[in-house]
Amino acid sequence: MNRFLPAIVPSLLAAAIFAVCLGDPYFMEIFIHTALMGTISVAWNLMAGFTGLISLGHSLFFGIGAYVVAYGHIGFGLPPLVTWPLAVVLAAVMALAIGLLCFRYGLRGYFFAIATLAFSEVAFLLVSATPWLGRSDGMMMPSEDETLLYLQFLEKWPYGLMVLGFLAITLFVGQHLVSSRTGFYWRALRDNEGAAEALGVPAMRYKLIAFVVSAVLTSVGGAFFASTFAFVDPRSTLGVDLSIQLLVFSIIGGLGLLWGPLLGAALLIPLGELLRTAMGVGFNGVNIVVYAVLLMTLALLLPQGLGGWLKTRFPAMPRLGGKPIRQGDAVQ
Amino acid sequence: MSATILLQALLSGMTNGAIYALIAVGLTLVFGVMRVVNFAHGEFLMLAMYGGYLAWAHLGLDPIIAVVLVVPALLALGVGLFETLIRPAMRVPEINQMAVTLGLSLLLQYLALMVFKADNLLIVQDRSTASLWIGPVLLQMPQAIAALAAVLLLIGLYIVLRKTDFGLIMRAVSQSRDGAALSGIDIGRTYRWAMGIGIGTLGVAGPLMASVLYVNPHIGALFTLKAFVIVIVGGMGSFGGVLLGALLVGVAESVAGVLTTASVAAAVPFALLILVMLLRPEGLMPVGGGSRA
Repeated sequence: MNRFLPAIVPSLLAAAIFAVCLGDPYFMEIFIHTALMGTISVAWNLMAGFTGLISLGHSLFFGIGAYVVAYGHIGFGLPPLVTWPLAVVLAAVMALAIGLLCFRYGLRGYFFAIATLAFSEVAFLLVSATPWLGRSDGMMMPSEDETLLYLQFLEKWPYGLMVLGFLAITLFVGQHLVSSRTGFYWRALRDNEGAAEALGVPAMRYKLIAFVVSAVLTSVGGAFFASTFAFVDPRSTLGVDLSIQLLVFSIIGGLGLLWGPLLGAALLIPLGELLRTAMGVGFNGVNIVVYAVLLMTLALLLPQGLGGWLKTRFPAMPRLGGKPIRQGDAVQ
Repeated sequence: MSATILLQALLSGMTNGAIYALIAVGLTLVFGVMRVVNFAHGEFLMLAMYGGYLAWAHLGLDPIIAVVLVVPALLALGVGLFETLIRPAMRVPEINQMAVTLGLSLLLQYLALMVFKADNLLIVQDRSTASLWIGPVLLQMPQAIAALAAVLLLIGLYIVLRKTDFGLIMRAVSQSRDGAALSGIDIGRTYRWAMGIGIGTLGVAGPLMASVLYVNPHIGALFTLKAFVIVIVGGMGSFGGVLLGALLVGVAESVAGVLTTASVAAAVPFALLILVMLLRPEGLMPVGGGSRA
């Protein structure tokens, strides 16, 4: 069986959904949002689900992507062709620095989560206070004449096509990594770091690889966000809420599966949208209340997530790299 | 900047620090005993603040008296939280535990938003505008009362944890769960009480803080983050560390507020956390090196 099946099947499904949404700008917008969040959740889960490193600071990398693109455009008139790679490099360097600092002392579990949260909060608060980055109001990117160079399209579908490509690339890269030696090292480190190290797994190196790959993919998501919406602000690109959403989608979809977080996002974002429109204005919080209850219930009753549950129900589904986390497994 | 302004910042930083310590001590107690980090800790503070506000607005109770009502309510909430969510959460992986308490935090915030709306509410009394002169610097009365209550309660907690059998049991479970169980300690009961007290302490902080700070549904998240920072800066699970961490965070924030803008000052606790991680990752007063809670 082709080892890329777990990347091919979800990509094809997403492409089919993209095709269905082509006719309607509203649905296309939901598709873009869902695919973007789903993809960076997949990137987040390479760390959390596969390596056992729970980051609550991933908004930092998303924000780096978004702000490098936005400030590059507004401040220097740089096109995405220049700013996207710049954002990726900056995110990689940042992840390397934070990773070195955190892993030097073997920070794991809650401590790692809160340490990463601290970094993203510093960035959030500093950007909110910086006049040339638009403070908490954010920045609008001006329209350019060379629309293609600046990825400025009148219609929504080119952005949908871009995010579809981003989703497919992320899945393929992810699947390549988790089904290679790297992925086995990651899972060994997740399940028992001490034992893995004793057997010769270079813990520091492979945790850093997970962190940098995850951060780089997340920063591409942020860069895409800025190019698509031509607007960035601290709350939507650097806030804790974003990082928490990645965790929510991953838990609900299934941490042990590459495509689990995608499933989580594909269920929750349209559901949230549905609830929001059904309840109307004034009941702004209802979708979040539903989110929260669903999250708590699933985290307790279905620790392997909906994807993991589907897999145990239908074992004929393709082997998707890595076992689902079972009840009682120690993820430290 | 004159010396008086600096002195003023130091004093208000220290009073804030005392209040922060009271909030963080519950979090560290729960973590020390149960190894669970409660991301909804601040939301229980938010509920306690609403409790104090409602008691004042509808029953005309002074916040100091409202504490007597709010503490048992919060204690019961803590026990209820343990029985309904935390006990089952202790059987699932750590990331799922995080998801459960994060979910609870969101749930409580948005339920509060539906019930209380987004209005900022504050208890306003005669003494709200009163203040004490301490030498050349000024201390607002509501703040002084909250800080004093925090100090008293922290002393009380310390005595309970160090001098009573109950405290001994708590410390035993936090040092070695299995060892404590083998000695005949009822672990489930200890957890229940740790959670009850951890949340119950917020019942003291909440009503008193409702006359210092505006309460709104999202105020808790801010304090959860600050409490995390304090607990890690001080050394996770350490009682003395919480005091030191809280004072440091309070003073650093307040002095930075004088020197720079409010937004930069808000980043100071997190910068402090990163600094401590760089220089002294086990925290300033790690467990094992001093008194532990």
